[in-house]
Amino acid sequence: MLEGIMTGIATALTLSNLSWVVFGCIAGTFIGMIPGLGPISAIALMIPISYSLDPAGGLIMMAGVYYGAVFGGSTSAILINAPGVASTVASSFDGYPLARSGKAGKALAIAAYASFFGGTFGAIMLMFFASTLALLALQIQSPEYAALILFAMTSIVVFAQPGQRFPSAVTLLLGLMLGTVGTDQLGGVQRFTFNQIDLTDGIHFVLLVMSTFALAEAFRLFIAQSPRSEQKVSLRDLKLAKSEVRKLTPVAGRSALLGFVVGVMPGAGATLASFFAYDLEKQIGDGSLEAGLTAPEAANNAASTGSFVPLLSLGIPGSGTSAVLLGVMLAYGLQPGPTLIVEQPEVFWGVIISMYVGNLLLLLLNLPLIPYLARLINLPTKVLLPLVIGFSLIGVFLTTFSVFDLALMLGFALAAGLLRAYGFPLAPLLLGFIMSGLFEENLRRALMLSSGELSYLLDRPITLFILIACLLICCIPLWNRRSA
Amino acid sequence: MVYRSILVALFAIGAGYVLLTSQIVLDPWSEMDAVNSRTLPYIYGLGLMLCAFGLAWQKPQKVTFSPRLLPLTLVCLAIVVFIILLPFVGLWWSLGTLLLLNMLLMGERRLPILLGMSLGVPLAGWTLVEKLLEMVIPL
Repeated sequence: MLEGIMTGIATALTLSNLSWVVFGCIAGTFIGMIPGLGPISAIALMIPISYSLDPAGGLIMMAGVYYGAVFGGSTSAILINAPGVASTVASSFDGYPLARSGKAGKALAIAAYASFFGGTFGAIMLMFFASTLALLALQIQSPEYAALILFAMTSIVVFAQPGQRFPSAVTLLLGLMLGTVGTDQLGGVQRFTFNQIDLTDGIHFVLLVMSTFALAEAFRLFIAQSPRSEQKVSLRDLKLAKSEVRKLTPVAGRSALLGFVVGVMPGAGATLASFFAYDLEKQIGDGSLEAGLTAPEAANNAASTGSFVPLLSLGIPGSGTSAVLLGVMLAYGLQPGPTLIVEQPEVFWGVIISMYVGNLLLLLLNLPLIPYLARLINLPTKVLLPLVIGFSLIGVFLTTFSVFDLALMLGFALAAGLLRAYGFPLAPLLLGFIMSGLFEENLRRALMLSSGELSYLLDRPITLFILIACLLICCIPLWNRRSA
Repeated sequence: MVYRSILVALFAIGAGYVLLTSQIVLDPWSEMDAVNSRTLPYIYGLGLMLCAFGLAWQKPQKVTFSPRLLPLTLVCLAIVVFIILLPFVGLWWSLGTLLLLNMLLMGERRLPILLGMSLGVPLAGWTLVEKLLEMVIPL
């Protein structure tokens, strides 16, 4: 592992990669601060740029974008009570009242420190758990992969908010269905292409991300009246008293641990982690607004890092954002999973070390910039939104060079906007889309190995264990209902 | 009303998907497989139909914004203009037109901003993409 860490340091600390992580942090923070545009949109917008870099540089930049966007999203949640993404909703519960009580600077500073703490804690845990899980993952073959993906899909539905399980299942299934469009890799037949040559290779992942997140969000903001902020923050507001640091450190510690554990579970993600941490803090903490802000911020950053564990070591995206990152990795020709650490150690360890570097740089860059960054929220939307729409369309066109895809994108964006307006979460759509091909490929491969015997899956202990876990987590909603 | 229409549309998408799945042509060997090119699509389509049906019994979530259809239609039209113009005038001129139309639709009337953005952004894009990254845009 030490050798891997040294490789990672050597990769992450090259001048060019350091520059890209700085660029990623800044770009991510700016995009994440725009209400409605979160880490997924930020990463999606950066995909065309990442293609011009080598895999290590591209992924390192994406890690910076990811962290920056997570932090940036909290800023709009705190200042104007407009959480751009679901994972920052819990931050607005206590962050916004804190900001309204004249402590906007302090609230932003707490968010920055808690994000740094959670992210760094998560990166340290990732360093240990990723390699351990990678060794475990070497034992995992097609049947186990198929069962793991099934587990991830089940988790997405089971761990959704109560009342959101059916909508999550609907968007997950839509994602799975969209993933089947194109030429079937194993059977060689065309499916759902309607004799359109543009669909024979399937729907491009960038198209789906840009339409369902960036463009659909831009449409939503276009027709909605966004709240405006008149907040002004000075550098002096960013300093915390020692007593507050002593009080908030244990809060950040337990929330980060909880967040990381939740983040590692495929499908659970930063949103659930931030809500869990907030609820836990309200139950066992002192109930202060500062603690109520620290908990979800530390948890969602640790969970964001935690979601890299299944992504890097097993190749399974644990959240919508890591699903986008998986798409980027596949586009580079990288296969995340146990082979990545062996075949591309500089990429694997480079990304992990970049998380430390990204976190540190994020704090160093953003803390003094908070007063100025906050002004972005006051930028006129009549200039900002046309830019977001333009960049989304260009992002897709420069990836596929297909006019048909642009028309498809418009249709998807309208459908996604409508679904979102009626409470259908869109992250499961992306997860389903990414997992569709992987699930079918691994399931069919496993059955080919067993000459079509489904009982073969049950003869393998790890597969059986995962399938039992699937059944058990399905009982959680029933258990919760009974307890309530 | 709109929510019910969405559920009906989802049910219809599921049903249409199942119908299309049944029309996938399989070779004789694949047809014998336990899981072939049709199996999972059948499950997904039927699953969507069931979920859409199940949602009919759930209380619809409150809509979080008041839909203003005219601005949305105009923005979509601006994108359609962008798509139509693309093969004729190229990416960067189309982009400039799109930005200009959208800013006008958003209510921006300051000429320096309108011209600066709709000319400056495509110029920056052209410099970055075609000159620095040396990408060739096949139009």
